[in-house]
Amino acid sequence: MRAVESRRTEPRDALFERIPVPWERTDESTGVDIDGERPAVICAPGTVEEAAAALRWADQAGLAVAPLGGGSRLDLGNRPRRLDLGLTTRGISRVLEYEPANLTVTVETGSSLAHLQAVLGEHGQFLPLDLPHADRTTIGGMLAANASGPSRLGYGSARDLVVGMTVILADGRITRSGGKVVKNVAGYDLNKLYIGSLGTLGVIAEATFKVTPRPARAETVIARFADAAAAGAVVQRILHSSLAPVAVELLDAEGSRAVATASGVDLPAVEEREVLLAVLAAGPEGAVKRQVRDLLDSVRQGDGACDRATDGDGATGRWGGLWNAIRELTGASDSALRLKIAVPIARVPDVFAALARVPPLPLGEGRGEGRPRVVAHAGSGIVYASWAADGDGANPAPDPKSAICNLQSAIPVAPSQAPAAAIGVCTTLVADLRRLVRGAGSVVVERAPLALKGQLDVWGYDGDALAVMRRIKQHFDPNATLNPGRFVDGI
Amino acid sequence: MADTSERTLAADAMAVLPHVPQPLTERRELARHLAGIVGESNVLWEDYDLMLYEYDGSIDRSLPDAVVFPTSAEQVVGLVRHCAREHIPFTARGAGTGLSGGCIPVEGGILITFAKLNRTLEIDPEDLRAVVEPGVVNLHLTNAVAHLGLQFVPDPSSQKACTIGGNVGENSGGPHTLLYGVTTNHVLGLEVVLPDGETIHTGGKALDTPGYDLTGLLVGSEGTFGVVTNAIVRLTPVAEAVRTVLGVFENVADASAACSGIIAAGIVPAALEMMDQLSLQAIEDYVHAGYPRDAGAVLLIEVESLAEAMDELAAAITDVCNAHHAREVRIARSAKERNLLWAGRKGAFGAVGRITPDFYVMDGCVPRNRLPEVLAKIEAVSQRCGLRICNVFHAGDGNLHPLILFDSEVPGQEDLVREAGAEILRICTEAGGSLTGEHGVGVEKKELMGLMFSESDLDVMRRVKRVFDPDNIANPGKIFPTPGRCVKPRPGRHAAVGW
Repeated sequence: MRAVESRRTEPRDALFERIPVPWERTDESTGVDIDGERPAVICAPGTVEEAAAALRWADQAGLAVAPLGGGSRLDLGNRPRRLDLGLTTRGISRVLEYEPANLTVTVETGSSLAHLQAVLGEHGQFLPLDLPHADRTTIGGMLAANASGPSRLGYGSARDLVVGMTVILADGRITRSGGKVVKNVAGYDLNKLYIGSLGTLGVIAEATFKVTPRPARAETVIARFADAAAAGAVVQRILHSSLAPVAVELLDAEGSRAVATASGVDLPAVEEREVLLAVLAAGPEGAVKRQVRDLLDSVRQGDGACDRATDGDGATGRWGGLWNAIRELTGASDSALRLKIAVPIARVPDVFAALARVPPLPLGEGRGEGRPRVVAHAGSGIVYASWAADGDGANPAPDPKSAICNLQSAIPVAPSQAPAAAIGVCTTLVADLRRLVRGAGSVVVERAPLALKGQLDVWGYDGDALAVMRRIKQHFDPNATLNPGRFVDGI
Repeated sequence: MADTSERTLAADAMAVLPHVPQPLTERRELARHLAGIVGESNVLWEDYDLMLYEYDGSIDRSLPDAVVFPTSAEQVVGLVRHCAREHIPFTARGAGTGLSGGCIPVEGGILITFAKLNRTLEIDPEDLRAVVEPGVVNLHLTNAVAHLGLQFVPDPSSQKACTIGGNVGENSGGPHTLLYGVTTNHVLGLEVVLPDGETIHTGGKALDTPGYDLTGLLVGSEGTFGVVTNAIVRLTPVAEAVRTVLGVFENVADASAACSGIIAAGIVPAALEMMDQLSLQAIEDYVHAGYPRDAGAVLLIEVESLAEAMDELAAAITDVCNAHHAREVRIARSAKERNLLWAGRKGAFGAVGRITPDFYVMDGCVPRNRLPEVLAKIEAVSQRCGLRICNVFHAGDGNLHPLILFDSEVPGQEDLVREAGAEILRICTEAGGSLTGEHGVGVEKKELMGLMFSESDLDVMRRVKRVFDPDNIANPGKIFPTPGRCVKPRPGRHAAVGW
């Protein structure tokens, strides 16, 4: 482990004996790995108050804390500048208040998203955040990472669905923001600040959400287009109509292949340069029938082929797992490199075209060359491109370390070139994409081998508000206790 | 009911001490400086002119020392730099339709009015975005994109006059927020002049900008972080079909239960409004909307979707209303009928204005299932203080708008009405609700923030205020309770205290 900068005078191990909540030392088998760094101990509080006590203690002891949820998004962000303690929320996971008539639910953030959905499902409701890995995503991790899924088009993302939070500040104070009602403008909307802050401002301990009744019916329309531009034109037509679909996704050839393989759904064969469109329509029976009819018309007018509609919501039956596979691809954990590219909606086809021009990344000896798998929330302007660690999405490599090894030991095109050349290819790729979206969007490197993370800015923030963000961090966490270094500009 | 001393404190706390403007000679000197930035014709400083800018749609007042009308973002930067250099407070003002004193310059200084910074800079239909200056009138934007089949969704009742800058500052709502969300859900990027004169850009046309979500933090900050000079907003396609239903009930309890029942049936209407008997009678006398005068309450329910869904939705809503003992369920058969039903709702405040010399609008928000109980308690407040209170509100959101009827000419009534208002907000927060659903804290409710937030909660907000405005010159005197005057804050949570 790297040397740790600290104000401590006493050896760290002796300090641990005084942690005021249940804790244990970690070892290789613990499975918590933040870019090759492992916290020495993990605290496991059973209540919000215990978590606050642990955080207060660490802050005073000058130790660095990484809040931990399900661990499904630990790749996000820079390497930690310091790391001593993990603080897991897994013991704080109750659904606190749920009154279906109010369409609101308050939950402790260690709950998995899947668990919350099961509770809501008993009353025909759901939280419309359809993330990958819902079973191992905690509510807290989801909010800290501002994770979202295809249905953000129809229902919004976390910032649109959270109405209140309880947050533990670095000094251990338990504070509230927002409220528990769906409309509230009392005081500053600090919820927005905490969402997506990657645990750098506080530990989100409880959250109140707006929830939604399950639509009476849902169907999926699938179509194939000659290229992204043709698909993009149809997407425009759909977005400007009154159809209001829940999700509008585009997949390139590699992306569709990965989804077909993972879901077992018989998707149309998508050739090089072709693009697959998947639209989720939901609502009352009559509205969905009409949506499907109009969507199919739009596809035909836009020269789409292989159009068809599902006989259900893509969650069960013959189409079972389709949407799940699409979601999983946006958070592909088998990838050596995963980018999230956000652009204005109409520029999504440009991003597809740019990604199609990217030279294949070298994947390592005997593994050939990798094309990106591209999947886009096309109605929201979010494109994910991921390069599978083993060059084949069919065989995910679950151990993130092997992904790192793959790229680090990659043999690039010419054997005489060092692995550094592989890193060079990737940094050039990211720089090119950032040039493409400059001033209009962003390219975030969501997952990358360790060697690459040291060579580029994973966040790529190019705006003019860094000074404000730094001051916010300073005012919330003056000792840099919480996730130091991992956020934008090393915050 | 709280004890009398506490009530008096709350009522006293809601009263504002107006700012006494600087002497004329000093104002003339200030105006000379400001004229150098925005031009002489864009500065007001004489008593007569300033008096037009001392109030908004609420009941508090305070005079600025000067009013300026910048015509460019550069001028705004110049004005703010001047304020920073001279430690002069500044307050942004849109159309002055606010209902919490947000644009009232309680500590004087410069009132930056956006009437002349009102260009729509870009309409970008492909990306479903528009870029507007803060002085653009809310409805004007929707009208400007109507030919594209698009709209700017937030629709405060004042939308014919209120500006998007004001909407951003207050995070305004409106009747159609139940389905579509409030202003913050439709603002994606901002250009902001910070109190030190630096300009920052937050968010953009694309979503998920890396870094902290400053756009989300700025919306609803009531002008206390700086001045917005343009906003990137979301445009939304107009729904194809709409159906409007009037449910007539014997009492508010049945109407409230029906409101919850509609939601429980899995229907999310675009609007779900309630009017009680007193407001129905006032409306009928004025608008003749065809509401039954003897009903206990009516629900005005509107659904938006595709044409094919309309019958299904209307039938489901009718069933729910009937299950909750509706006396009658009426479905608007034509645009004319629909407009008449809405004319009643939209004319409600005007109608109430005819039966009372003054009224005071409250804005508490409560969980939907607590509506019957909260409405009963509000009725009890009315009985106790001898002031009539009527309710016309966004029932679907649980967002109450009790109108307290009074006469400011009667000595003591203004104090009484503030006291009743404070009591109503106490009832709302005790029911797990909010002090304000869409009108903002401003001056009006700042001393009541302790009803909702602990000292620690407020301290975090103060820290954020200091991040943006360490010298406290951006719209000072808003949101935060005055030290030593505030209602006792709710206890913080150190042990197991639920909330």
